[in-house]
Amino acid sequence: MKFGKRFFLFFLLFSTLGALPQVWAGPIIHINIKTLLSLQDAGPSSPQIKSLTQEYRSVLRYSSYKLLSQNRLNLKLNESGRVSLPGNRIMNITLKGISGNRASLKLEIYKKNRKIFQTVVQLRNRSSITVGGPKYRGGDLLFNIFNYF
Amino acid sequence: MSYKTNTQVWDETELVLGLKEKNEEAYRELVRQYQAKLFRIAYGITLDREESADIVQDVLLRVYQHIRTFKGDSKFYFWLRRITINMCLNWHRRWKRRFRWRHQPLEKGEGENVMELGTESYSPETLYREKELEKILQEGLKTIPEDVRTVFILKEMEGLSYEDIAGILKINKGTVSSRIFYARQKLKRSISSMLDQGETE
Amino acid sequence: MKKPSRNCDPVIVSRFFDKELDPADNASVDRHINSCPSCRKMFDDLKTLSRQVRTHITGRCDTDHASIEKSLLETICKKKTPFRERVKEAVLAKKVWIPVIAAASLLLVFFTVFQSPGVTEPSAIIASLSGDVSSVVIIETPRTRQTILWFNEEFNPERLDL
Repeated sequence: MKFGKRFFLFFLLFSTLGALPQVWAGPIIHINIKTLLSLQDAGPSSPQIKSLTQEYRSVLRYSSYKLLSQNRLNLKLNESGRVSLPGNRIMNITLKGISGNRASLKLEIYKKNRKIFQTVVQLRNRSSITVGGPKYRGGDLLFNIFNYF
Repeated sequence: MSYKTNTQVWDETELVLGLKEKNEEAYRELVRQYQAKLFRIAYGITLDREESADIVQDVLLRVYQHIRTFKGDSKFYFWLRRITINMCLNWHRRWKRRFRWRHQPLEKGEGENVMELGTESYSPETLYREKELEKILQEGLKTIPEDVRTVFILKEMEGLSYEDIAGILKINKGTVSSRIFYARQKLKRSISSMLDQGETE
Repeated sequence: MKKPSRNCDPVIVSRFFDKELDPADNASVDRHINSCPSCRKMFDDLKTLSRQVRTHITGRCDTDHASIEKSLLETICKKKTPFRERVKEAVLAKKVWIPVIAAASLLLVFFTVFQSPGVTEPSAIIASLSGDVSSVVIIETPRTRQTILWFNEEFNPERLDL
């Protein structure tokens, strides 16, 4: 009977673990970071970011937006990813958790190894936040962070 | 203690006493007497009507709440003016202004003087020149850095001496002189064509 | 050709205009201006500019002071009213509270159970932020409610913590 009891407990444990693969593997979030340079001078905006440009035009007054780079990160819970940004800057993104349709992300921006800005945001699934605007080459940098999970 | 009615003139001492006693009529008088003056200073520094209105409201509210901090060691209006200037130059406000200027259209020409029909001033040429001058002055003032403009406005609008301005802003007299000179040169360059046409009173 | 004197210095003329020269220099510059056409012009230009600036600023300040006055006095009245009275006023004034709460609850249920199309919430909720920045602005685009978080990178000894 003792053997039976132990077997039953182990069976229960493994079947529970097997039934919840997400718990074992943890949630994974896919993040796309676009680095943009917004400028006051005339000139075309990058065509790849047309929809973003249209959104920005409703609240910002730059005349053009250039896509400088794009980075992708796939993060598990409590995992961090690092992205190099122009002007000796680095962005660190950490997935703190997922609750409902929002992911909790910690964003840290470093300049020359000094942390200059940090925020924790709850980002809706399949949407983005834009962080700006450090100065760079006559314009301002914008970092658009899109996520889905 | 008898209270003044609004038909009587309040001198500064009475006004301060009335405010310390939380006399509503004293507060009305404070607003009536100083609102426009403080607004002109705030506008000269910020060049933003909405923000100037906010600043003046904040200043007058703060005065109402903290009148007891006024020690009477300087004139009451000087105290109000200093609070207004400090509020205009407050870091957060300055940065928000810079952000707004870059991402919102410049103020349109509301409040421009309307020329009367049938007078010499009504000629289309005069109207055009007046409008152009307004526009150029406004643009010119915006190109002057705020700390320089503050000095310039205190000189032009308040007629303060270099020493007084230096005391209020805690800078050297030499800095006051050079900032005023710089602001004048900048504005003069902006409107030099209008001046050369010999606009006179 | 007349050699330009120290008095032809625009800085000196500017200080003379502001009555900031000592009496001896003041008298000397005054005499000079009366005999030097270019300095006279400089002085007259300063006078014109001063008048134009004052007129311009005063003209721009032609705003609705009466409404500012009214709003200030209302705020003062509120501050004078004891908190309990203000709460009482608020409760008594809201005769439609129950229907409003009921309507709000229904809307909440409707939007959570039947997720309506279109964007009803901002893309990002800022839980915290900190940094060696002087200011932060949070904006939302009107159409898709995308959050934009704008910071000024200028180093400021007073850290900003929210």
